[in-house]
Amino acid sequence: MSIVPSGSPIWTRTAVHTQYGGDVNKRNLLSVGVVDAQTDVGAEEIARLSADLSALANTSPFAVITYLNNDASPAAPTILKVYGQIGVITSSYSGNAPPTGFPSAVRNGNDDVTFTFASSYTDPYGVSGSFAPMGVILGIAGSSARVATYEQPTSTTVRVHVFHSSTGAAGNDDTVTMTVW
Amino acid sequence: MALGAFAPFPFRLGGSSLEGLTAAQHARICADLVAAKQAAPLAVVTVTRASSTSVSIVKYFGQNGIGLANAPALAFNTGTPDLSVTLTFAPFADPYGITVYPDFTTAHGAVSQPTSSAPELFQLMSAGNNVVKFTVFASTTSSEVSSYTAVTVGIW
Repeated sequence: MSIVPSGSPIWTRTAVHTQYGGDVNKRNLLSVGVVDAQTDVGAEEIARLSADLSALANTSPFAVITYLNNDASPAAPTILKVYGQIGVITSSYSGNAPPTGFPSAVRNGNDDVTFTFASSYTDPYGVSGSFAPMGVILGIAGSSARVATYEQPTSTTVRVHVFHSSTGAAGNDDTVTMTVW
Repeated sequence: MALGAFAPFPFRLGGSSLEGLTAAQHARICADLVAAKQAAPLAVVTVTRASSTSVSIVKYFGQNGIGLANAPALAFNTGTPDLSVTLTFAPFADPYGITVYPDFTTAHGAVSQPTSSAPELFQLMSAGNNVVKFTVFASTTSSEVSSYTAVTVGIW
């Protein structure tokens, strides 16, 4: 590759508008604006695009992961879908055999799973950037009352629990969607 | 502007895949960026509560910036039955000095807690204009809790 993209990959959350070509003093040459909106891109458009993209980079989730706890026949959780900044997988995989670049997951007990992420990922240009989960939001599918909580045992792991909401006992075989920042 | 030579703004769409940006590629960038804008959270906030009277924001990611310097103002109630937390955001400014108040529509959250604790759940109380209000309940008792390790709140 003959150039290196400016800045770092989105998951490092270090984006600023200048990395995308924005500048507070950006201008069109000789102040001549777009001649034909169908063929030209002006400085004011790049300025907006770069600012909005850097704002989005601040808050975009790293990944939205839907998985199934396997408790009746205890086994690693089944990762059903991953929509992530590192890629998309809509065909399921076992948590103990993740495709390259996707998180692994181990079963600790009923509705108790620990996901492990890499400490660094690489973008399509070969640029690597460090990653550590910063926050988690959880949702549970099903017709029974459940509540999910999380822990961050280490900088690269997230542990998720699902409980019966009325008793506080561990659930089992629940399907969970985890959004990770 | 002629392509292949010094071509400052406004630049003309076209050229090769190595040295240009085609109209089709630019159209895809625009469509995808707008789509992402429509669905992206405006802010992600992590709040910790050591006691009924000790509440703080520990992490902040917002479309206005990253870090506590960009975080919203925090207010909280301290007594039964109201242990709610209120986040009030200042106007968001982009890098060009264009300033607009965020207008929130909803928020989702999850509680971080030790394995041994009784399960707790995030409950949104209101989200509108630039203010989000929430609390945390113990699921087994349906009572608000006065301390929690952390709660992550995503705000749209």
